[in-house]
Amino acid sequence: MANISLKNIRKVYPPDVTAVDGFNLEIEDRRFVVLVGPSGCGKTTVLRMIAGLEEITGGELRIGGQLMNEVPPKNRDIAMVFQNYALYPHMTVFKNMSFSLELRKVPKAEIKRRVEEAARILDIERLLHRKPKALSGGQRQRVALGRAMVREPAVFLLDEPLSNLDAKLRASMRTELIKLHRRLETTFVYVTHDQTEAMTMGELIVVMKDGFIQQIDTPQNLYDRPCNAFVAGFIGNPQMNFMNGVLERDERGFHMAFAKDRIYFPKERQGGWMEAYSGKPVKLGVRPEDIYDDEASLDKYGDAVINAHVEVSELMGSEVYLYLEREGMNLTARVGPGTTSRTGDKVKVAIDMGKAHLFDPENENALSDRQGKDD
Amino acid sequence: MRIRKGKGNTMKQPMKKYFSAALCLFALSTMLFASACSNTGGADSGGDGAVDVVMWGWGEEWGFAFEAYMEAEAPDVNFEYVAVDGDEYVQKLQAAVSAGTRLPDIAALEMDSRGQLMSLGIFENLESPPYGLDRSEIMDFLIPLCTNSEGQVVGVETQPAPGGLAYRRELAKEYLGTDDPSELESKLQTWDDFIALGKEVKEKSGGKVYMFASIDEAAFILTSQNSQPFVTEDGKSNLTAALKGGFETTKEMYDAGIVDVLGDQTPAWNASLSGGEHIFYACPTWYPFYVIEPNDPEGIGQWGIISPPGGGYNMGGTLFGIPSEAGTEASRLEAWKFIKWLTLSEAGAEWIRDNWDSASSYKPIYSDPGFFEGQVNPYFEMNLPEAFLRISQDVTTRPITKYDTIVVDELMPQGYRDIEAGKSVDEIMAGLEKSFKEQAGDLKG
Amino acid sequence: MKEKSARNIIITPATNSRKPRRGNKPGKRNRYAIFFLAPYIAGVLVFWILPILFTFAISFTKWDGFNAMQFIGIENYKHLFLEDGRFFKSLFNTVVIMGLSIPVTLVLALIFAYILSGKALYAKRFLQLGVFLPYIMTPVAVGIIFALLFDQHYGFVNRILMYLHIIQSPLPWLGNEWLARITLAIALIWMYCGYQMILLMSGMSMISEDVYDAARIDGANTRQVFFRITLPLLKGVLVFVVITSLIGGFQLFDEPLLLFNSSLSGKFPIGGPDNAALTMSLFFYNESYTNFNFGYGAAISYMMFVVIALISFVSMKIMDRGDRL
Repeated sequence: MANISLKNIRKVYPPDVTAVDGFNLEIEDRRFVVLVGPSGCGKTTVLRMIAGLEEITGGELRIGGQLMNEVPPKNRDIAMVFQNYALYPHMTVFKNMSFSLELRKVPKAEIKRRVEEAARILDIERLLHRKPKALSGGQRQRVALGRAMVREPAVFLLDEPLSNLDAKLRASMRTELIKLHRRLETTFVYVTHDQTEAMTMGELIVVMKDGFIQQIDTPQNLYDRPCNAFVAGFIGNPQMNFMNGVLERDERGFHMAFAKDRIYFPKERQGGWMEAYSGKPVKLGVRPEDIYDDEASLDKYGDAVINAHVEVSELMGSEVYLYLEREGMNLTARVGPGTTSRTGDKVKVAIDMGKAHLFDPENENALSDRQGKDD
Repeated sequence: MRIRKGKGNTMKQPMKKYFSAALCLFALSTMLFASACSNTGGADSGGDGAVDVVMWGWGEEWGFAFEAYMEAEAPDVNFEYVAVDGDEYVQKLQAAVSAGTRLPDIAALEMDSRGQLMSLGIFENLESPPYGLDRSEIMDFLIPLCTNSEGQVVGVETQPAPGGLAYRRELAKEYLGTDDPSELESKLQTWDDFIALGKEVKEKSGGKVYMFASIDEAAFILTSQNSQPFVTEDGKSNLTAALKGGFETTKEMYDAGIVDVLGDQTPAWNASLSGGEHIFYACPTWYPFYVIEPNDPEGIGQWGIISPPGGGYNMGGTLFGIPSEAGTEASRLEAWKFIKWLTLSEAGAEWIRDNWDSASSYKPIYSDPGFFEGQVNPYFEMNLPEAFLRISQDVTTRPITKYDTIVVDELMPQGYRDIEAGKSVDEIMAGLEKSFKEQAGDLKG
Repeated sequence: MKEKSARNIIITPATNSRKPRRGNKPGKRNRYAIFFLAPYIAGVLVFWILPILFTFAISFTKWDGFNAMQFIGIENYKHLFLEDGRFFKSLFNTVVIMGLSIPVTLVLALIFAYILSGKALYAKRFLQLGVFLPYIMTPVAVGIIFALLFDQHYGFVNRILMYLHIIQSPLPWLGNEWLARITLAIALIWMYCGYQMILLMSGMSMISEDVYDAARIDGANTRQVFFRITLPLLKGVLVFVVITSLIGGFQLFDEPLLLFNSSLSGKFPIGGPDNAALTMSLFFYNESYTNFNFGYGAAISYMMFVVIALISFVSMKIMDRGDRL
C-alpha cells in the first residue's frame, strides 16, 4: 500500500527560516494529489521531504505505514520527475532510463523489457539512442517520465514538470499525464504554481501559502467554497474581484456600495449571520464569470446593477473580458462573445450576488454561509 | 520625441575625422621613434681630438684603475666605464657583435667563459704590432691562461688567482699539532701525507672533523695540479689524462672519510667556515675578501694559509683583452697602453698592491720579496700577498680551450657527484668521456 | 509625423545604392584600420613570425653568435638524432617527469576539488587558498626552497623521515638520478595542483544540482555518483587540463633549472645528477646560450616543436574518440 501520511511536518532552515509548518495531509493510494501555491510557499520543499532530498525537521512522514523520516531516497520506493528534467547529459536516453535499475543490479533482460515498454507508452522508442542534448523539451520531459516509470515505484513525485514547456505542449501533456495516471494506477503527488494545471489534473488539491496549508479540497469545492480570500483569489481565471467596503443595511436589505450604486444581496442569503457584520467593513469577492452585461441578466439580477465604463476589452474569441472602472474602483467581467460592450463604452453590468463571497477584511477568512470545509 | 540630427553635428564631422587621423599618425610615429631610440648605452663624451676608450666591467674598481692610469700617464683619452653584469657579459658582447654596436676597447674575460670567448677569434693578438707585448714579462704560470689555441697572447691577467690551502688555526693546532705554516707544509709534503694525517684527524675527533668541507674543492685542487689540456692539439679528448689522477686521489680521500659532502658555496658550506668542523679550504687570492671574511666575520686571527702538497693551482682570474672590432685603431692602442701600464709595469703593480692587496702579472715583482712588505691580513695574521707570491712560484696551469666551459661546468660536477655516489674512477671517466663527445660535437676522438 | 519618418526610411537605402560620396564612412574606415593594426602586426611579424623562420634557417648552419654562419646542411639534425644521446635522454626525462607528475597532480586536484566544493566545510575558502597559493609562486623561489628542503644533509625532508624512522640514512634526493626526478615531480605537483583544482571546481560547479538529486533518488551512493556522474561530466575540463599539462610539461624549464642550478643547490651539470632532469627546454637553452651553438640549438628547438605538435595531435584524437563512444 502506498498511502502517504504527513503529520505535523515542519521544515526549518537554520538559523531561523521556517519554510513549512504544521503540515498535515493524508494521501490515499492511487490518488492524484496536487500541491499548489505561489512561489516560495513551501510546496516544493514538502515534495522534496517526501522524496528524502530534504531532511524533515519535525513531524512524521509515513509511506505505506512505514516511518520514512530517516530512510534514504532510494529505499523509499519513490520516483521523481524534475522541473528541469535532470537528465544525465552524458548518457543516452536508454541509459538515463536504465541507470537506476542498473544500480539495483536488475538483470539486463528485465531492464531492456521495462525500458522499451516505458518508451513505447511514452512514444519515445526511436529516441533511445540519442543523448539529451539532441532532444526537444517535450521529448526530454517524456524521458524524465520514463526514467521514473521504469522503477515501478509506489509513488510518483512530480515537481512542476510542465513549467518549461510552451503553452500548447503543456496543454497536451496535461492530458497525457492524466491518462498515464489512470493507466499506471499509482499515487501521483504533483507540485505546480499554475492553478489551471491543479484544477484540471488534481483529484485533491492542497493550496499552500507561506509554508502553511490554506485548504485541502476537491477542485470544485475550492472553486465554490474557498475558505479564505487567498484561496478564492488563487483559484479561477481571471482572478476573483475583491472590493473592500462596508456591509450596510437599509429597507431593502443588506447591500454594499459600488461607487454610487448599491448592490443588494439576494433575499435567500440575507440571514442572521449578516447582523453580526452589519455596519462593519467586509471584503466582497465576485468572480468575473458572475458578472453579466446582457439584457436578460440585467433583468434577473436587477438588484445588483452597477454603472461603469469599459477601460479595456479583450476579445478572446470564445468570450470577452471587460475591464471596468468607476470612480477609482475596478472590476473584471467575463462575458459571452455576443456582447456589444467595447472599450470606452459606458455600460451597465449585473452581479450575481448569490454567488458572491464575503471575507473578513482582517483575517481574510470566508464568512459563514459560503465557507468551505475546515482546513 | 525623435532625436534630430542638428546642423551643428554635420559641420563638425570632417574636423573629427582629420583629428583622429592626426592622432593616429602621431601615436604610430611616437612608437616607432621610441623603439628606435633605445639601447645605445651611454653617449660618447665630447670629442676634441681625444680618443674615446670604453671599458665594460662588473667591478667598478677597474674603472678606478683606469682613472689612476689617467692621473699617472695623462693620456689624451675620454674614458667611459660601462657597468655590465657578470652573468650577462658574454651575451651582451655577442649582441654587440651581431648588432654592430660599439664594443668595449677593454673587455674582461673571466675564467668561466674565457675558453669560449678566446676561441671566437675576436680579440687582438697583443704580441703583434702595434701592441708589442713581450711575454717574458708575464709570470710563467699565467702565460697558458692568456694564450689562445693558436698560441697568441690575447690578454693579460689583471687579477691573477693562484690558490693555496687556507686552514683554521685552532683545528690545525688541535688535530695536526701545529698552526705554523712552514711546519704544516713540512708535514703535508704530499697528498699521501695529507690523507694519512686526515685519517688521524678522523679518529681523534670521532669522525666529526673533516679535512675538506666539500668534494668539489678537493677535486678541483687535485685536478688543477696538472697541466694536461682537456683536448689534445689534434682535437681529441684528453680528459682522462687531465682528470683521472685528481679524481683518484679525491676518491681516496672520500673513501677515507676525511672529506665532507657539503655543496661548494651552498649555505651549509658558507656556515661551515665559522662552524669549526672543517680544517682546510681552497683559497685563491680573492677568497679572503670575498668568501672567508664575509662568512666568518668573527674569525679574526683564526686563519692561516699554506702551499698545498703538490704545489699551488689556479682558481679563477680575470683577463683584460681588446676586441678587434672595438672602436678605432687609436682607441684600441690607448686601451693597450692602459693594460700594459696596469699589468706589466712596476707602477701598475704598485697600484694593484696598494689598492687591491694583490699581485699583478708583472714577472719581476715575483722575485722581489720586499715588494709586499708590511701587508699583514688580520684574519690570517700573515702577509698574504707574500704567501701567494711564494705559492705562485710553483703553480701549474693548463692551456685554455673552448671546451673549458663544458668540462668545468658540466663534466667535472658530474664527476664530483659520481665520486659521492661511490662509482669507480674508471666508470666515472668512461661516463665523462662519453658525455664529452656528445656535448662537444666536433671532437675528433 | 508618422508619414514623414516613413518617407525618410524609404529614401535612405536609395542613397546607399548610389556611388559612395567622399565622406562616406566604409571607405575611410578601412584606411584607418590599417594604421591601427600596423603596430600590432609589425610586432607579430618581427617578434614571432620572423624568428620562427630565422630559427629554421639557422638550424642548417653552424653559428656561435659572433662569427659568420657556416652552412652545414643537415649536420645538426644528424648529430642530434644519431650521435647525441642527450636528445633522446632529454625526451625521456621530459616524458618520465610528466608521467610522474601529471597523473598525481590530476588525481590530487580532483580529490581536493571534490572535498573543497562540498557544502558546509569549515574553513573551506582558507583551504582553497592554501592549495592554490603555490601556483602563484615564482619558479625561482620554488626551486630554491625545494633545493633547501631536499638537501641530503641539511634538508628538512630527510630529517623528518629519519625522525619518523621511515629511512635510516639520509637519501640523496638531489644526487641520485631517480630521486632527483621524483623531487622535481613533487615540486611540480605541489605547484600545479592548485591550478588544476580551480579548473576542476569550476567544471564541477557547472553540473546542475538536479542531476545529483536525480542520482540520489535513482539510488547511487557517493562513490557511484562520483565515478558515473561527476567524472564523465567533467570530461571537457579534464581533457583541457591534460592537454595543457602535456604541452606545459614539454616546455618545462624553470623548475629543473633552479632546482639544480641555483646558488643553493651545489654543483651539478645543468640537468641535475647525470642530467636526469635535463628537459628538452633545458637542453636547448644549454646548447644555445651557454655553449653558443645556435645552429644546433635551433635544430633542437624545431625537434621540440615536432614532438609537441605530434603529442598534442595524438592526445586530442584519443580524447575525441572517447567522446564518440
